Amino acid sequence: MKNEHTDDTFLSRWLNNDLTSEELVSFKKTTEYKEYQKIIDATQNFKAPNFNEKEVFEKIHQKTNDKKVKKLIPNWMFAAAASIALLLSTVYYLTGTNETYSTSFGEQLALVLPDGSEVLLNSKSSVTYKKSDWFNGNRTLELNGEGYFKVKKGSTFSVLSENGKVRVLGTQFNVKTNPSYFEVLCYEGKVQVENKEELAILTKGLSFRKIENKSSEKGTFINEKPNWLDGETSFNNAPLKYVLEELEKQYNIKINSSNIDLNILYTGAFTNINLNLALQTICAPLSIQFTVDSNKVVLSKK
Amino acid sequence: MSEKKSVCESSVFEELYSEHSKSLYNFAFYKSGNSAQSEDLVQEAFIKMWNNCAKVIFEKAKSFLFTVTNNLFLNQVAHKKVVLNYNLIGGKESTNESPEFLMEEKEFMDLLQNAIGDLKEGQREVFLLNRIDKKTYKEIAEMLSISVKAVEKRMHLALKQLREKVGNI
Repeated sequence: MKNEHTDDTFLSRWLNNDLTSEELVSFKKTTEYKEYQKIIDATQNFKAPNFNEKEVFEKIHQKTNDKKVKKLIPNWMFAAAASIALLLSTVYYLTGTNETYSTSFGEQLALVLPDGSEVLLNSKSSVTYKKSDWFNGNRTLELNGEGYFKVKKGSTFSVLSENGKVRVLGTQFNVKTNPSYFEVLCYEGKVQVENKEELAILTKGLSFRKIENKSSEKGTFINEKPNWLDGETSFNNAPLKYVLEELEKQYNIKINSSNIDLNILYTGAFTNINLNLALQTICAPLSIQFTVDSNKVVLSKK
Repeated sequence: MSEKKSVCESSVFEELYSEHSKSLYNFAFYKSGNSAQSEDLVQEAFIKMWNNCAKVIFEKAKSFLFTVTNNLFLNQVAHKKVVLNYNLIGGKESTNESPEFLMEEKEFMDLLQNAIGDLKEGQREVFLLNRIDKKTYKEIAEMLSISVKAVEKRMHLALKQLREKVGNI
């Protein structure tokens, strides 16, 4: 009799009034029954502490509020926006528009290419590239004028110009390309220069230059970065013609040089900030006189 | 079947809150014995539900809340040995009982309180949800995601253990 309430759910059934009347009667005869009943009666007097329902809800409300604001835009809007974006990008991808950046007289421009590489453009220069090519890992751009490249490591990086092609893997180099002047300086790593006639590989401190139809020259230099980045334009044994062209680009001036020999070689640097000073640094060593009239400069022999 | 209710609707969310927050709080309290911690748990559970509202279907919201609260509680590893302080209700203002009897009563209540605090967590929450919150075994089973049979066993063991501790007074 006494052991009847020892199965493992007996007390649960008792509390739930699920005992049969016989079970209940025999249970009530036991001494334990009173003790259980006393515990159960006493338990009625317990309750959990008050719950600050409103306060907690306010907190939840605050914390979820930001999100709620966003949610007010219905989901189909996101879907619509996503499909439009997808459509546009597909069209864009297929047609592949060209990105072009260019600088005017005396301007410089810093660009970050889609792969993270950097380009610094000198004045009167431009770069053009196809975005879609870059996403396909084909890092190619066209350069006109002068640019300094800091290339992120990765697949081949090519700079195309009318004078030739420069290919690298990850390095820093300067390319200057005009219709008749082509110069590449390698500041770090290895650069491959390729034009119609030849192929050259430059390492740090080596330069490659080709002027008009003369054969190409290789040279060395010791600078850490191009002078023009510091507001100077420098030349090493360059015909005066190109020095003056560069000067015109920096200062947006027209130079009349019909009276002087443009094939004299010039080595030196001029500032990009002060025209008079720049003219002096070019003209003084070559014994040339200059007169400035607004944006026209006339050069003559001394 | 009636129309589907989305938990992401703030009205539905509020409905769920007013329906379940109190028992969720008690549930957390029976586990932790700490009212501030319990409020935090309730708060976190509802925020979690809101953030996942797209994945929680209305019918499962309740068990989601209890499961999350349980998990959050288990994550807060450093819970102390639980000493519960239950508020006494229905304390009689005046009584004809002798002081001696009242003393004994008080002693008994303290003893019972400690015994409840000493119960295993699983047993304590079942016992108190049933006794204080008047939840049926079935409801408790749903909350804890266990079988009704398991609830009954825990209930039985809880009561048995309580009697062993306080029985012979």
